[in-house]
Amino acid sequence: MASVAKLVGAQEVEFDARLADLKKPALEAATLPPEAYWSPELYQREIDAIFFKEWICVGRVEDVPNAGDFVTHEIATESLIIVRDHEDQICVHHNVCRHRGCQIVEGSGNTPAFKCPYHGWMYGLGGDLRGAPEFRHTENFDKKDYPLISAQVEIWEGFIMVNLDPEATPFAPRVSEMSRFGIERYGMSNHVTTHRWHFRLNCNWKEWMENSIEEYHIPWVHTETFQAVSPMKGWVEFPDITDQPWIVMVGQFPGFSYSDTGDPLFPVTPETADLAPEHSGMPIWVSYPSMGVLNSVDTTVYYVLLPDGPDHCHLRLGLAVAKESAEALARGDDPALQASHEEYVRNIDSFLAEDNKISEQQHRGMRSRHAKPGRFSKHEILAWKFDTWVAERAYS
Amino acid sequence: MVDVGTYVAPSMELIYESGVPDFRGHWDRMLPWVEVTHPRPGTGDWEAPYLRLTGRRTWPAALGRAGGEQLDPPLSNSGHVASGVVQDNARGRLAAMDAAGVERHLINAAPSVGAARGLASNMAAGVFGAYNRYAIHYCDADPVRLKVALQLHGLEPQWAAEEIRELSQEACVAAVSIALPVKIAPESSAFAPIWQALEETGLPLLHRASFSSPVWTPRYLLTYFMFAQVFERYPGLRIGFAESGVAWAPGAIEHLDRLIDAPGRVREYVDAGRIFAAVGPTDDAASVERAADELGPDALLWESYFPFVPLGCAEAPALRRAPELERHGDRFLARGS
Ligand code: FES
Ligand SMILES: [Fe+2]
Repeated sequence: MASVAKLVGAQEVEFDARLADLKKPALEAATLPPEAYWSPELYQREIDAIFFKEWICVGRVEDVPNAGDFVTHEIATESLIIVRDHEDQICVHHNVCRHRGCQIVEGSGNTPAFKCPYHGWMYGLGGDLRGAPEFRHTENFDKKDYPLISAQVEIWEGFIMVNLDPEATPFAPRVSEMSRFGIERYGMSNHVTTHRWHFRLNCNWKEWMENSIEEYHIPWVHTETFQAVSPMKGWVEFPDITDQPWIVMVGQFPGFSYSDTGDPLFPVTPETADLAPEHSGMPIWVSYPSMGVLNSVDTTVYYVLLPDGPDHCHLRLGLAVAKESAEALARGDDPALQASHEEYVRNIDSFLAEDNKISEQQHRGMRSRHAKPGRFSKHEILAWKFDTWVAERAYS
Repeated sequence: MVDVGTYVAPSMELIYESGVPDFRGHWDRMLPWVEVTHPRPGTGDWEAPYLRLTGRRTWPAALGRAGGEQLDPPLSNSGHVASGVVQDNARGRLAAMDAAGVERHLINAAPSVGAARGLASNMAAGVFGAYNRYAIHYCDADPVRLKVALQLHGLEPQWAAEEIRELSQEACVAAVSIALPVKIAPESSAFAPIWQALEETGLPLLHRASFSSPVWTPRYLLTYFMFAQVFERYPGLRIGFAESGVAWAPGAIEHLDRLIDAPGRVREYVDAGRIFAAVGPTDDAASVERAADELGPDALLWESYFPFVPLGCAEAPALRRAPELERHGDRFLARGS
């Protein structure tokens, strides 16, 4: 493997030429060069220029409902603690002790304070150092100077967005134009996650992302699932919004849901009734680099991809329904609702399995030394737009 | 003016930090007795939520939204108490003392520390040991004006005696409080090591009502001490009664002096400066006057409950200024007097 970085180095000129082909107009452009899907060097550039600079979704507010609830997430080498503090604020801290750098917690749980397992430094939920045993004789030491390092955090429609770049500008204004498509009408901030998925996939994160924003594959990949309800022509892409760090495509299937029949089984969010016809149906919003939201009239499905080396990524998804339904499901006293929920989960399982399988299969192909850049169809304009954005940010 | 009834309420985090390593290793065992406290500004409390012990199991049920009780409101005549005075702001305390014209504070543990009595006795001793070290550290800001009453566990007498010997070497340590349990009477030989350590170090015992089991009222404890001849066996032992006011004292002493084999002996101990009672914010002027008359003003101490205050202490400012109280705190706190 030592030769990989060198290989890319030696082919720098060719890689640049290939990027120039990508940057042509979509229907004249070549796809992203295959090495972008496996080169450790290019991967590192994506991490540095994208994942450490952009707003990344690390879950939903309902992942940490009570004070002291915490979860941990990894963005490449950065482990983060996401915690609800005693003042009901959600904080994100780097999971690194300020004493001598030990990782402080793993997994998730509930705690009144974070105690480093190495020498017992104790931090409040807000990250302030509350206890440093045996440090009274250390000169010029003030606990105030050693809080956990916090990351920027913003709550948007119930999503916890984090940015590891302290200089980053706020998230909400970046996506404010999404409201043109009525995003706030889908009731997302009132939705509560009732089912979660987590996969570690054997593919590059961009392969799965591209798959999620082109409908070209639907008739071939989703033979068992979507194909029946969503012919390719039902999708409208909005490639004209090219200056935004997000994209949207809308499946023109008003009233779509994840039930067996496609009819909603959960209460329909009333505000979706007034949507303009070209915006109503099943919008898929993608906020760069790796967060997606699939709205329907009765649910929100969302996903986040986090890279784990060039050949792997973590895919996390959630199914969320209106708070009232989520509470009823939690009580478990409505068998019909329970059955509907299981039906939704089962159907999402099925189309996910199709997408995951094909993305891993694509990655095995991309790793061939004979893989070459290809071309885009008119159904893959958003994938081209996404690839161009990645190239611009990470490789230029 | 010496105020023998003032408090610090270090957070669980500060107690943890000051504990011995073994004790810190038991942190997880303590969590069920820890609650999140919502601070109340202006009372000397911190401004951000923190952890403190409670006498009951709370975790994790109490977790929910930021909860916990607030501290009692500030002393009506002391105005605003600066942030953190009750935890780690010793400088703020000194400034408040200057403003109130108080020379010295004897610092006691607030009920959130005493709540450790609900834990296993070795754990409670761990909390008290950590507290004592914390309080000494707090008083480093001015060891002449800030004095520590060590907090010790009656269920761990050997440990308590060792603590007294070790920590009495700190200049700011000026008194000892023992959490007397309900099951063992103070005349039990189990306590001999503690009384012996007090005898050797010359530190007085400050009996605080809220720190011991409620059966140990001042009258009850004094009776035990007399019948068990504790004063006789430990001729240097001195005791001050706090958190009980002074109304009980004249009658109790007179009554006890009629009961015992050597009538008038209690009175002699009072006159010899071995028995004290603290005037508190809840005493009315008449009881203070009576106590001063019957016990002699030299036997009275003053306590303000700084920075806490109970309800109905309208007369507190007037009492505090009683001139006969000015001198005695120092006599009580002076070692081996
Ligand atoms: S590395 Fe965390 S306490 Fe030492
Ligand atoms: Fe798909």
